[in-house]
Amino acid sequence: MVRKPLRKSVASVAALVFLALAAFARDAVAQDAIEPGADMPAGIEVVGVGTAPEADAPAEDPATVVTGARDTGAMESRAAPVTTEADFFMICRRGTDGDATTASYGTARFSFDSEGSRDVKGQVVVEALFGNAASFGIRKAFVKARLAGVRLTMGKTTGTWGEGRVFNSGDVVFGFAADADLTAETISDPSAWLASLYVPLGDFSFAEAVFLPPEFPLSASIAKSLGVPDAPEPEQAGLESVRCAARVYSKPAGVKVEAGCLRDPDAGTWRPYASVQGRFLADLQLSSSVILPDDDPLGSGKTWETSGGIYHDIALGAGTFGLRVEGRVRPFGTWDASPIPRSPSAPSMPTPGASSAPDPYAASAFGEATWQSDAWFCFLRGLYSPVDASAQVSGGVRWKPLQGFEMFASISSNAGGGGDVYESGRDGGWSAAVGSCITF
Amino acid sequence: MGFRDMTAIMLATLAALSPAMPAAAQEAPTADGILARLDAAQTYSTLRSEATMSITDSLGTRRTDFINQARGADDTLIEFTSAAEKGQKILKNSKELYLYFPDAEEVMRLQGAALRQSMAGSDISYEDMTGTRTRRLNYTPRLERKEVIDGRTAWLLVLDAKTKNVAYPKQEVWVDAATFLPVMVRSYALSGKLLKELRFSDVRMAGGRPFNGRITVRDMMKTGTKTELLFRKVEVDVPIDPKIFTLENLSW
Repeated sequence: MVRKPLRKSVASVAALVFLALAAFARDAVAQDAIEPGADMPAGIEVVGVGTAPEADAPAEDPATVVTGARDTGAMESRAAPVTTEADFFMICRRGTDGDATTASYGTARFSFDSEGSRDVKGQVVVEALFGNAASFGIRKAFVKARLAGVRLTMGKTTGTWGEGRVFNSGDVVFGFAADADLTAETISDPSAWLASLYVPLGDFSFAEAVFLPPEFPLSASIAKSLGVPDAPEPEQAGLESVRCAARVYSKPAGVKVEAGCLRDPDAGTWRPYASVQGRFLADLQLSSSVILPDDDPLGSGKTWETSGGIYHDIALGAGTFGLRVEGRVRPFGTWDASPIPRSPSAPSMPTPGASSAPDPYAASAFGEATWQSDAWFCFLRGLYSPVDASAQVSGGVRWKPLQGFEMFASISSNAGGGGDVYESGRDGGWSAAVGSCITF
Repeated sequence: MGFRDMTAIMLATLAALSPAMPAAAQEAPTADGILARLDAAQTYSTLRSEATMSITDSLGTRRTDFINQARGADDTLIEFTSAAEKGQKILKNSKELYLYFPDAEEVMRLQGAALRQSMAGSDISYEDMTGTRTRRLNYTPRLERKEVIDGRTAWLLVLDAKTKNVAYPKQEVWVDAATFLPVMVRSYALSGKLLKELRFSDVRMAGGRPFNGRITVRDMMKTGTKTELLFRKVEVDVPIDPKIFTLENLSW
């Protein structure tokens, strides 16, 4: 899978991370040891397990077990407690002065899984970025437990609130990643530190409450303790900085309905939202939210935004052709184009997709056409800003010739004048990339 | 021994043997009866199996391991355990099908045409998973003939869909005359074009019931590909927590 390269590196915590991971992995392997007598094909050493033991299965009712004829000549790929996913990129892109620049680098994800019982699991996912040096960050680090029918989650993880691939006005918790990449398989996948309570309300409904404390400034703290010159003072956050949110999810009459609210004490705002998803000839989704300040509890409605989308696919040849259109409207937002000042800090890493400015306008649109078969995935994606009439278009192809191995190529370009959201002349205004990915 | 004694002995012998005789021999081979037995033969109160899916195309063979848990005619949970797809899950009930992607912690509900997408790059589509144990509800059967196929004596049923809410408007199903398990299934488009062929083999016993241990699937719209499902370990009528067929467990 193609992933966004890291933009925020936390090189100084690498040593601590590895110490923690070493301990975590050791425990994970110990817990996942194969039970004595487990059924193995001859000559194959299995180093992990795929499922938790059936703790509730009564011993007095041993069911008939069929052990079929094994294809002993074939190597079985049992899941290991550690999964590695590595991407290697060669990129050519527009540089700051307009010349073409090239770079090659790699990213990797190391996922350490631990499942002590069917009601407890943990995972640490370390992201690495490596060029002529390496930096590391934590994408996920969480533990989940099921207690008395309630699921508790603590740590850093990801999730989806609301509905929408690119524009999702209902995702008040995770939002849309600022470093989203149109050429990536997962366009945006932000994560956050949180504590969550998930309460099932039937088989396909639930309620969830999350608490989102600020991330501990570990790198600043370490730098300070090491006496790094000019190290910033680690910021101390008070209880008033803990955001919290709640939602209810249900599916009456086959339509997915979700509603909730985010409380941001620092900003002094409430952000209620609602989202629906269903099917009428095509898959349809709609999400809407508004930010209500404490000092204006009824709200002026000026922050109201709504996103919607439609998706349909058809069989085409040996694959499936899919078409998706999404849009977002902020009715009281800015409908007049004005030059967007460039950020003084250029992107720290060249990304496979073209770069853009934050979109401040009242309307935005996204379109996607894909064709995928067993081994191929072709895409054409575009973001369009109707207010300043600028656009970003990306196209690419991914080929998966072997299990766990993928090659990809993509091009991406902006089409817009100076100061537009998708300005052609900005750093990274166009980009071409080739690469490969392995998962093992 | 008189005639009456001989008759009594024969009747007693028949009575003693009758419980052990295959039910097939006791029922008239009507199309509807065979279809009902086909559905019943594939339906378990609960089933848990570990399997390998081998996908072969012009580039070679890829193998994916998964755990399948089923309850009754409708509920199925598949969890992939191989590295590339680790943690991905598919939950199916009588009405809907959900996918779970652990990396994004995202639950996706598949509806409509999206169900025709290939499952993990195989010859099997998501909609192939639906309705395989409830054909009697959705199809009108017609008994064509009895013939030997793959060394197994089988009834050939031609099924015409009663509703548009099925994956294939027409199917031919060869039903094993002894076990009532499917031997081969051919699925057709409305135009009569052959879309998919499934062959079942390696019959073994699980919980006292016969079970097809190997299924070979060919998507006839593709050239040179096939998908083989090999069930390595099967347990039937074992306790399965009903909560595993819920959204909570899917996103666990």
